[in-house]
Amino acid sequence: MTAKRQNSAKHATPQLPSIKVDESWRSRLREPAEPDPKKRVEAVRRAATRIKTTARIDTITLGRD
Amino acid sequence: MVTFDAPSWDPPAAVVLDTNVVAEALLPNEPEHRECLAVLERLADSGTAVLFSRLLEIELWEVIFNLALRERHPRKNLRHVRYDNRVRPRAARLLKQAHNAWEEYLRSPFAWTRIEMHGVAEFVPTLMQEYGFQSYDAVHAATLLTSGLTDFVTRDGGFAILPPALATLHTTQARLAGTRARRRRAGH
Repeated sequence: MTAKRQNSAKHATPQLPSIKVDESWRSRLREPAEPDPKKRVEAVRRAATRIKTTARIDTITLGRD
Repeated sequence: MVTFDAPSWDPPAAVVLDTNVVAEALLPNEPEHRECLAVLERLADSGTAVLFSRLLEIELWEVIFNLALRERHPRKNLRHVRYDNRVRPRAARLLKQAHNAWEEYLRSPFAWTRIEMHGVAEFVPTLMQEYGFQSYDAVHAATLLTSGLTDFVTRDGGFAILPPALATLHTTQARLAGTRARRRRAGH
């Protein structure tokens, strides 16, 4: 969030935006690729070893600077 | 507001994921890598359904491309070197690795779905107007609000502008105080 947005937030009046809820995603949920929770956890751990870099970046700003 | 790296954290039935948590989990050098990897492991181990915007994937590619730029230009403003074409072969390799990582990650949730941006785009201007979000943050907020869910896993305290009734933010312990302060400043 930019400093400008933080500053404007001080003066914002919170309101519920008129947003239409669409829960159709529930019928589109993908079935688990792996029913065993332990193997699902292993998949996360493997995923975290795929990207090889020594650089660091601010992932909140997506590295925009 | 809750902390997902607290021992007492209980994964909800369904959550919306933010880009910065996924990127942090997939990049081992990042400062909150351990916490973010642990939360994805907890989500995988539980019966939690994971929702995310298509924008998450696009932003992940942006992070990766910027990493390639950062490798070559450690101290420069990336905006000034964005079009350095010497970076692109390395960026291509990193993007391939990131695609593989993301595909591997998608094998982990008990259930997941991708929310396309065209389904939420009409609400983006409303959220920008109501809360001052930047457009891409408004896409994630619209994804959360249109889904009917309230649980949002994010490291970005900027989403504290959303009222607690609309968004329960799941963040790291290190970010809790700052995120709470933002929520107070927002009048919530």
